[in-house]
Amino acid sequence: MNGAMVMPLSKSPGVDVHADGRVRLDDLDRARHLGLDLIATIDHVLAGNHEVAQVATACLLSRGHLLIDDIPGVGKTLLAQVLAAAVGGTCHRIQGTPDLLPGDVTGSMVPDQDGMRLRFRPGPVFANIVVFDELNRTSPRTQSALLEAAEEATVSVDGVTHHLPDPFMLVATQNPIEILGTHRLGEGALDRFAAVLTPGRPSFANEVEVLTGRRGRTQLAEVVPVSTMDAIATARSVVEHVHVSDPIARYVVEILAATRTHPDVRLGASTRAGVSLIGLARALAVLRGRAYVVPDDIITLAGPSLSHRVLVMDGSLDAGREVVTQCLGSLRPPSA
Amino acid sequence: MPRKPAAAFGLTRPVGWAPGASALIAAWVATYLVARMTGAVAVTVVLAALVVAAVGSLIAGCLRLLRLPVPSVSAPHRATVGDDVVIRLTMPGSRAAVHVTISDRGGPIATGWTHDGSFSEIGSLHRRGVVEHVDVAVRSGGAAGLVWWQRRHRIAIDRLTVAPRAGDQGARVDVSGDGHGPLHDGGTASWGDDELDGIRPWREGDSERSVHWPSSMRSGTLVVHDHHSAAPHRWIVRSDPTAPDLDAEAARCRRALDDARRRGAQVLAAIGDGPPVDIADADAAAAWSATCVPPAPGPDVVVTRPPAEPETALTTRARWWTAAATCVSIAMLCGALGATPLTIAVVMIGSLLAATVTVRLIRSGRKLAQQWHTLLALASVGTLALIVLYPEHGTDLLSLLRGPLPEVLMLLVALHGFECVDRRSARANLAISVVIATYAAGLRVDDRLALWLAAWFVCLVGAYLSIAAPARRTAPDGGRAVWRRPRPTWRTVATLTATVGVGAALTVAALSLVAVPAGPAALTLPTFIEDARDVVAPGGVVSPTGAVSERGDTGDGTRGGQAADGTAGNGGYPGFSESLDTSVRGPMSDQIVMRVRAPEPDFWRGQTFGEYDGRFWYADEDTGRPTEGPSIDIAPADGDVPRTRLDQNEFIQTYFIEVDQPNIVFAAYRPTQVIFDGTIWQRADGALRSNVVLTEGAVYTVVSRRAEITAAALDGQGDVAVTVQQSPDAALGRYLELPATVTDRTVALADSLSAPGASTYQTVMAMQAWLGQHVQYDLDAPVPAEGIDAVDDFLFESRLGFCEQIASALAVMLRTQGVPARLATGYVPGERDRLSGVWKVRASDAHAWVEVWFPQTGWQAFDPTAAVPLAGEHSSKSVGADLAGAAIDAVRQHRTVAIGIVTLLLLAVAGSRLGATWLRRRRRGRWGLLQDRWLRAAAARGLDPVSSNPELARHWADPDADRLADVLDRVAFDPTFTDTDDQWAEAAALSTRLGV
Repeated sequence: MNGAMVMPLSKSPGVDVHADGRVRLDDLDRARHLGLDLIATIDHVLAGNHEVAQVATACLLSRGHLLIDDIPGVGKTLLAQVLAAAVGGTCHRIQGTPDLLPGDVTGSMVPDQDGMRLRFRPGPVFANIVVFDELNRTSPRTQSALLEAAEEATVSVDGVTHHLPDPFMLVATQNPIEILGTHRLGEGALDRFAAVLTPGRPSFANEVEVLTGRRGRTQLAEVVPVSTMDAIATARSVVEHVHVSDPIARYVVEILAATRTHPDVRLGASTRAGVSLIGLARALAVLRGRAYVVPDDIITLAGPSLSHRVLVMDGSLDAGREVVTQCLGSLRPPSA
Repeated sequence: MPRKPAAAFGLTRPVGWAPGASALIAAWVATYLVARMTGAVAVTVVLAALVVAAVGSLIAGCLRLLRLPVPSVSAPHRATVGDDVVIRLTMPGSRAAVHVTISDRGGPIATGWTHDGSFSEIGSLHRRGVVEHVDVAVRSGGAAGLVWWQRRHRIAIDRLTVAPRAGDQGARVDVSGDGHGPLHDGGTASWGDDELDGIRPWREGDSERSVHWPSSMRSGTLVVHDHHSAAPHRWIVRSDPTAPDLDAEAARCRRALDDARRRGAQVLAAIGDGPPVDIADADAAAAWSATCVPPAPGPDVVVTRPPAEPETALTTRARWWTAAATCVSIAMLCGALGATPLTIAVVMIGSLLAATVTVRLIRSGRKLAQQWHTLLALASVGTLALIVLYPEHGTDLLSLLRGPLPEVLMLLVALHGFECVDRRSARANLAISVVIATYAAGLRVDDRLALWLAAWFVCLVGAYLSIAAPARRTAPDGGRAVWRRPRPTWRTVATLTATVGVGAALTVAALSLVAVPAGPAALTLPTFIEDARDVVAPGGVVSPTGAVSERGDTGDGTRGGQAADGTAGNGGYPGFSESLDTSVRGPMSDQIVMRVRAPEPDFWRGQTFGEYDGRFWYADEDTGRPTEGPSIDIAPADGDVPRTRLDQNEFIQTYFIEVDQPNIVFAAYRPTQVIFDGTIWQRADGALRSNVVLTEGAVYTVVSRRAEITAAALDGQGDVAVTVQQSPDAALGRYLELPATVTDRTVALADSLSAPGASTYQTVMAMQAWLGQHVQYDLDAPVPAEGIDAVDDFLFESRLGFCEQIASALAVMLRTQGVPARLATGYVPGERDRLSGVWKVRASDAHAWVEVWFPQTGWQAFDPTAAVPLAGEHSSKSVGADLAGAAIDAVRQHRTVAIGIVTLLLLAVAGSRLGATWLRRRRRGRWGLLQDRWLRAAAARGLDPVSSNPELARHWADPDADRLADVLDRVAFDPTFTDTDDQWAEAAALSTRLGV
């Protein structure tokens, strides 16, 4: 929100750390304020859903990608847009349609002006924040091309590898209700998203504020970037240095194992799920001003991070969320 | 998941015994034979303890099952035949591990052990259809796992639809819309304008045009394009309920549905020609195919009766326990046999080597190679032959029992150890160990027997418990994981203690029904004299050192077997020589000189003296006739009545000599057979002497016949003097002779004590009563002057004396009344060791008493010195009463020790409890304990303890709680946290304020 609060950061995306790998407290503080500013901005525009803003910011800081899955008209796209606007940097938006081809997203070789040589023309994926609307409307080919690019942060066309800008974050939205003419994301595609958010309807008061224009899309134009790309890169580096103790790691593995043996689950959470959960928890720890992860971080994030990764019999996201809650309830978190 | 109440259908019933339990029964029978042969109390005790343990393990499984609640089962809603499903079962509140088999219509789904009352296993369903209840067979063998019990429940579960596996071919399909051809040549269907969906393996009927060559080249098998149809179709899959193989038809239906769905068509399904239903997704397809045709009739799973014990695997822990039990039993037997250290070492190393080898085998999961079996068999046969043909052993049963049999047993158990890799063989090994241990208990008579038996029993119980413990369980992820042993709690310790206590009490109670075994002990080590020291003067009494004892020794310290230094540590009692000085007793030590295994007490008689000269008693000069052993029939001696009118019973004694004795063969009156490894002189006076000195370690057995003599029977024989006068017997005349030194006042006293017309028995009783009233027992009685009649001096002058003088006085007084009487020397029964059932005879138990002749029953012992029960009087004591009495006596005698032990136990219990608290403090640290208090406080507020600290703190709605939660999390997870007293003080203040 307040850009002046962001201290000028070093050009280097890395951070100075102590000899034992601990992050310096002022770096941690800067990263935390950056995150809190982002959250405040999102909170201001979006109709007051603090936890969604928190998870989205954690996602950004942990180099994860975000999928927003909800009914139409609750601000999925707005969330993605405000995140992009608050971060600063380049932001592209792609609308998913069935005829969208992989080349339309990643870029393709086009004839040079002289018509003699082929030149790579970057697609919309070349931006810091890519907002992909209605991801499930586009064909599986395009989906997989996009997700591969997001995962590797590179695009390979005609044998040449092009690096996506850093930082890069994909914010995709999908609509779970209108399924006619859509291509459901496969398990592998879903697994590439660090978190799936379901913002839900705003509260009564918030809805009033949206309608009166004090919140919502009308405010989007007023959002000023609260960070720079360098600041984000530094904050991401800080997040990577957050300490995860062995009991925490074991706790996460126990949660993963519990989802795998749950009777309603056909396919439990993968190891990648655990890695991305730990990453998100690190970011949340920074947002809460800590240089170490505590079980509460894991518990807060297990729902958004794991519920799309457990394949439940009836296949819905809610059922996955329920399974994750049950698994959490069956495991005593580690403590002193 | 909501669970419907379950209905029990069936009672708890036994299903059979574990493999190897029959070996234990065989061992029990063998033990029973050992008990019969040896008459050893210790074996009887082991027998009873085994019976109690067997009964306990018989009902243990039943008791464990009866305590279990009805289980509840949860399973997924969908499954496919043969695919893995996770089955969970919970029985809240049951800690004990039981074996669970969950089955559906006769076929097992999942099986395994519960852990802490729950069970989670990978299983698979074997039959298509809808499962609404499963059968749960809960099985337990208790802790010992010998007899297995089972209880069956029929548990309702949430409707579980079991779909068939997709078949190779599809079912009948009606295609509507502008389809492009039959379903099965998916590859041929109008490719070009379809969207490529993927590739799939080639199937019968696919067109060669559809082959995807690049993939085929890569995979090496034919791969074809798989197409989505661009245009929507309606595919109606119709099942055929009249198909001959219904399960195959269901499989075909599923295949058809899967194929149709893969095509992207709108899929409908119908049973026969019935109305079609929409199939939305794979789940719906699976669900419909499960019920598209009626269930196939009859069981499609052949149910074989499972073995009673669900596991055969042996844990290494159990193997070591087994080896320990075996080694202890072998050590016991070696001790009893006096085996050389080499033998002990060989057998022990053999057993331990076997244990090591098998433990390695168990760990690696391999079996012993075939050639090793052959080698072992050859080794067994060879050693067996060597032992049997060993020239030292005789060929008769007795020497076989003594010689090769125990060695064969030890060899067997050591060699069998190499095969001991499963539960059955471990139990067989233990059964052999039982036989060996009882064999040893039958042979051993020493004081350490109780300790050995206790050690062995602990090992045996430990082995049985560890064998029966669940070895492994299936981990939920399908891998094999070691079954986690529940951590012992105070409850388990208390249960164990109570079980041991109740078991011991029941054993004593059972033994109280068992009479002290009366033998026959004839088969027990009948005779064994290791260090044969020949006697130079055949028939005469020889001191343990071999010095000849001459008749008429002066008695000044060198007579008889008394050692020159005056200590009578061995056979130094003056009564064990040719003559007996009534005025000398000599110092007697408390050393145990021999042990006598006999069911009842009696005098162990060594010598009789017939001739009296006023101070000395002399044994008969006639040495009798020699008879060679080992089995010697003893003919009746002078005055013995071969067959009395009274009932006679056999009374078998085995003598174990512990300290060198003279060549006097001790026997209870009246010996009829002596089993002795040497020659025995049967003397006319009834005494027995051998041609060898009884050295330490010598063993011999005597079979006596004792009449059932009661006071009435003796009283009824009237005045013996009258009988002797009426039919004088030359042999008895010797026992009426009186020396000239007998004084008139002695005769007068005897006359006054013998009432006219009174029976001899009454006279004896009167004389004993007089002696009891008028003389005092004194080991330091004054020696009468030379030439003075010793009896007169004792009766009228000193009135102090010891057994020789008292007995002499009685014998002389009886002779004055014309009653044949003589002096007998030997040992009183001694103290009974109640476990091994032997009489411990000490040097100080050497004694002299009087034998009085009765016409119908022969010689009858009277002990005027002490009230010793009449020989042949029956004391019907049971083993249990004996043991209980021993325990009570021990507590009475060692009251302080008993109190000390109880105090120590209590201290140990309290100390271990304190120690556990201390350990917990050390392990948890002050912060850990604070965390525990925090969780307890949260639980007290009704919060779910399965929450993180900040979550709990939120419920407090107090910033202090948040701070405390943060500190606790820092302690646990912040690597930079350093524990300082300031921080602790702050946290402690917070916790106090919060009331944590």
